[in-house]
Amino acid sequence: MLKKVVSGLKRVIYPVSQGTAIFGTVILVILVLIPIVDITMRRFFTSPLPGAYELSEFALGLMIFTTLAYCAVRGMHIVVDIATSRMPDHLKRILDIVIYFLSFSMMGLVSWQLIHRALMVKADHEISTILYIPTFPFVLMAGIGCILLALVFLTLSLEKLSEAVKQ
Amino acid sequence: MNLTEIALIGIGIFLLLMFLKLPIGISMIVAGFIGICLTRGSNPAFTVLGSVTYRTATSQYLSALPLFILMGMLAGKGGISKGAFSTFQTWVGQIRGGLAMATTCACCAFGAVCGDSIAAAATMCSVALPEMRRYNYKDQISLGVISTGGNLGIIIPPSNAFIVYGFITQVSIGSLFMAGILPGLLITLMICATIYFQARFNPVLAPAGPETTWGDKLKSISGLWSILILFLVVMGGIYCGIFTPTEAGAVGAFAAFLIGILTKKLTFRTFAHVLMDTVLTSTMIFLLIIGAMVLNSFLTTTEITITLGNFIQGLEVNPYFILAAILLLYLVLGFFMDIYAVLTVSLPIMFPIVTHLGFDPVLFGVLCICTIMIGCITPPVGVVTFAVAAMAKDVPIYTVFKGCTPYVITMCIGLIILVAIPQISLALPNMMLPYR
Repeated sequence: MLKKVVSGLKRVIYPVSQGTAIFGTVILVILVLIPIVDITMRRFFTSPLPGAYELSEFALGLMIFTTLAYCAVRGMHIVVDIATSRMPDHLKRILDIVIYFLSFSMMGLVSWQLIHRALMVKADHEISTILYIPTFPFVLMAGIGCILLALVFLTLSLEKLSEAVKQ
Repeated sequence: MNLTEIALIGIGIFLLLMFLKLPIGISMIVAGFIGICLTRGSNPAFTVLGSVTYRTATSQYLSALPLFILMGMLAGKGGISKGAFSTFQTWVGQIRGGLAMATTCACCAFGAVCGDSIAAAATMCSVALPEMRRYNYKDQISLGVISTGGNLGIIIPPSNAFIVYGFITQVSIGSLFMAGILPGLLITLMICATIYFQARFNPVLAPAGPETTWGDKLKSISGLWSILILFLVVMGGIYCGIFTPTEAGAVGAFAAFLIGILTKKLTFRTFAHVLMDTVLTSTMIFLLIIGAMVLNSFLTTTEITITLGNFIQGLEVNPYFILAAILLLYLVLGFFMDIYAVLTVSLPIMFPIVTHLGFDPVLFGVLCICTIMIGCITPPVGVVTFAVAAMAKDVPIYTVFKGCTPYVITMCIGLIILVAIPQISLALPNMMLPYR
């Protein structure tokens, strides 16, 4: 049963996180182009790209939050395993379950706060200073990115739990 | 409980979670969240979770980071390192230890376009190791030099570590970049001198390579054109005030892309891989920075850094002893942690203490990054050393560590010189921004 849940979660969450990370690479290209266009306009047309800083900030946020989950799928978030590497296998497995579950809980709280913030920003009709772009969709995307990361950690925790049960 | 006790509990929770293998970024978020709950209550703690996370990930200051990572990765795929190695090989390859010196110089040159030590070491491993093996260099010296040289990219601008340091401490990234140039060159020269003496006293370690003519030497200089263009565009632009560091990163990445296209080394597939690797590496570092900022918010509420600063000042010990103790701590942290992890974990506490003691923030940036750099090639973990050993295949890690030992000693001497003569680090930033 647990194994089915894990494979079901993996089938949905992993491709979604990969897809959002690919979207992140497109945003990276935009992040490179914004200053290039700004410099070109500043140097050759004596008028900078309006709100280049704001656009860069929005693009950076989008790139980071859309890639957070795939980074966890690829096991790239930095850990220190010097104290745990010599633990017995069964202890390591229990620790992994707890650690992934704690990561899930913490990122769940962060995403909840980001969604809450997004709703507040929407209610206040908050817009950027120069280009008057509504901030709400970007904060919401940040929240969704963190939810996805939390779900990856939940999947990893359940996967370790199913392995432990099997043993 | 007073505020200092709460701060110590928070730091304790963070260390415990980190050593239990919770991702470092999340360990800092958990410790910071619990800490703020204890000092200010749950509502401010929840607010910090949302606001600090979003604010950090959308910081204009940090947008330079993915751009410089992209530039380094594109430069690596564009065959820039191979050209640099060929040039230096032609110039110094014929003397004993010459190929090892050429590797170090090529690493230094490649460091001028790539700010990541593992990427630089990996690139040089594929380029220089086969050549050194062809001329019967012992793996010990070859791999020792590649590990040490790859590390030079951290200090020679544009360096990702300086961007992270600059963001956490609010020190100008441009000044930090300038400050890294002369120390980087000094350490490169010292490593070359060490190789020279090693080869002189033990010729079997690093025999002489093939003879080259002056014609070959002059012709080979063309191998450096792409690095020179990138370095001049990026650092020249920052130094002359034409670009901000972020803009320089974008221009550098774009120029590296064009070089890759011109040299026909960059295919669509490679470009797609580079983009994905860049976003993943950037995100990995961003989670650490987000964690550091949440932890920093907590530590600020406890005023622990002010308390520690006052306590240390009350000890009436020579500030240089305290600096030495802090650098020793960085060395130990560098043994088993990634450079970005060390910076994000330590700076919220260490930086205020060091500036309280009257040390220049830019100088401290150079010193601490130099120290962590030494830790990256020292046992038991030495992240760069392990990466090089994995790439070399069939070489025990012990051999690589043994090969690094003479250069670790050299770099420690270099570090002492940098502490004794701060002008080496500060001359260029002072020239660029006299009233910084």
